[in-house]
Amino acid sequence: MDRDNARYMKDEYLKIIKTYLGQLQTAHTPDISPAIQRYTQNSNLKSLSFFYDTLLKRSTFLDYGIPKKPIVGYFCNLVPEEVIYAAGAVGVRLCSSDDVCARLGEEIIPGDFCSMIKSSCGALFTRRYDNLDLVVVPAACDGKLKLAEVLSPFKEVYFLDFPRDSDYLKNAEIWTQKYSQFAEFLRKRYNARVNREDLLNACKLTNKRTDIFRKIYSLRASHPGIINAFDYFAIASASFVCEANIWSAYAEKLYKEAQYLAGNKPDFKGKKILLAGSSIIFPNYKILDILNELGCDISADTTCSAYGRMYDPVEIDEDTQDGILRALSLKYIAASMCPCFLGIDKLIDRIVEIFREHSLNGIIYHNLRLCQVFEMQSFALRHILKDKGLPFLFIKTDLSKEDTGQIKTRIEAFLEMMR
Amino acid sequence: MFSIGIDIGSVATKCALVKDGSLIASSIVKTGSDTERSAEQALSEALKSAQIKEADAALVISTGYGRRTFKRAGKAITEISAVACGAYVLYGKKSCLVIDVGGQDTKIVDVGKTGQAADFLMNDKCAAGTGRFLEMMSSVFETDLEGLSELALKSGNPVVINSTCSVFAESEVVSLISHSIKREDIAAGLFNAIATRIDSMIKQIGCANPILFCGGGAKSAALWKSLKRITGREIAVPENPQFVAAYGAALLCSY
Ligand code: SF4
Ligand code: SF4
Repeated sequence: MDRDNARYMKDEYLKIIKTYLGQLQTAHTPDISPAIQRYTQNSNLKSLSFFYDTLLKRSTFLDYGIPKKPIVGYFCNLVPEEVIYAAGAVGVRLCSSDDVCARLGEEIIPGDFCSMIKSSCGALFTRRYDNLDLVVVPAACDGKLKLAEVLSPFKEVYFLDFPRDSDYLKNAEIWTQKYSQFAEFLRKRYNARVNREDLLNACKLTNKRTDIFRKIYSLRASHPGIINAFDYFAIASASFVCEANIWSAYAEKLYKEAQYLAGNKPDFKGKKILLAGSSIIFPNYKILDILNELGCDISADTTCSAYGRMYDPVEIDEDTQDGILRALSLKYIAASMCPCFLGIDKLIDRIVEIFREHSLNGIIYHNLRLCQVFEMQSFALRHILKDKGLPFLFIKTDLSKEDTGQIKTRIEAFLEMMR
Repeated sequence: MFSIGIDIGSVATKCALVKDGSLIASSIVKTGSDTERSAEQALSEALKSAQIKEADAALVISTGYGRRTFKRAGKAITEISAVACGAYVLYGKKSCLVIDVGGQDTKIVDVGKTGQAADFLMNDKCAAGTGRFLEMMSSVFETDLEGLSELALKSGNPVVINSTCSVFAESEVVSLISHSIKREDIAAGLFNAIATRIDSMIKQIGCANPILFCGGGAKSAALWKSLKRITGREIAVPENPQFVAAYGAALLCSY
């Protein structure tokens, strides 16, 4: 281990920061029940309730990891959940787009940071991280890097660092090595084995989840509205805070129920939209609300909160420990469409492929305001996709409601363009 | 049969009566807080000037930011589609690129071969680079848009103004005035600042079609001049630039 991961500041400095932050008021964990009530109003699928219940009761992870297992929080879609499972811990993905937390975050970091970073910092002041044992922050954007430092006075933080050039041939060895260091860290930390067999078992769990996710994904694309976009992103968000095997069992039920209903559902008349760009996490549903109001469906996505998280399986060529870790780096890093990596081709190829495969009508690229990396890609996407004849709309917005009217006009005009 | 297009903008409400593709009457009123009433008012003024009855009209289509508030309209479409259709017909049914500087937004619309928008860009959520900006700057000079425009046309040496944010530009202007920079040169600098911003929007869309400039902002000869100079392209301004969206909405009735 090159450095003690939990410590990014000297004791003396830590003490000052802790005293200062200790004086700031704590706030309540934001209550998501009104949002749940609102979005479940029109749901006709019974098996959805498990996912919404999970979102509600797991907002502070109180009952998570029982019987007693350590809870490891992580950000992004770049940390191998399988390694956490293999260490006998449970992983929770912490990415949130909560407006209340974002405003709390502004007390300690500049306002002109993306709301994902602000809300991750702001969650410090709610009880959200209390039950976590460890937080893993990957080398995504600079905001994430400094987030590791901001959280470190309060929680043990592991910074998972790796090259951000997504060229597999060039970097697979280093990624594998970084994942292996992470495994080693957990091994010591939890006195666990994390051997080949543990890793294989963990991969089975997430691959099972991928299987069922893929079924749901194609059912939604072929039968728009059968599981509406609100519910789709809710079940994906629930997977952040739910053990993979439990999630899969309930998702299977949901799939069966939806499949049964799909038979007698009238054809969907609206436009089928592919949503690319920044993640959509419950309850940040502004764009979904607008699209729903305008009668169209997000029938497919490439976001790292849903598709990017669960679509790709771990494909193991060589089942040695290193081979499995390499396969994991392929799944999480080499295949990633995260804008923090060099190499936009993957995203474009996937968008074109998904668009054509499911005969979609248009692509909306959603950019969480103040995220520079997502925004910088918009120029290339606009022109390349337009050149291929795919209708493309760029939308930049944040968690506030003030620009709802303007965003709606843009989306409405986009739909008129497709007539 | 006539058709009627009503464009309920953030500043003005415009009504266009169209017969056989030509504009036969129009009216413009200030948009009040009750947008529906402003629309009614614009409509009755236009009908009066053409001496026709609404019952003779085939359809009323509303557009603009208040489009949904005018419940009587048979249909509501966005100002983007409306302006695209209006510009397309005015331009002899050919593809073109529209610059529309309105009260609260500036849009660039790439109009395709069929008269539909093929792509568009709008300014971000604040008023930077819109008609509202020009209005605020005019009031710093205690004049209106026309006055500011005339002033700018007299300039021989425009200053460089960096901001199109109304708040920052205002302090920039006040400081320039206090440094006894000529008012003409400051005014011209303001138009250049907006034109530069619009130019970068055009480049983002990346479209080589001929340009048509419309919306309330197109009434300013100074802005037109700056745009031509900065984009380095020919820019046409139609006869009634403010009515292009209303006209387009009326035309869409027959589509
Ligand atoms: S897009 Fe990348 S940086 Fe953003 S949350 Fe997803 S994985 Fe993390
Ligand atoms: S949205 Fe952008 S700025 Fe924010 S965490 Fe993700 S990559 Fe970083």
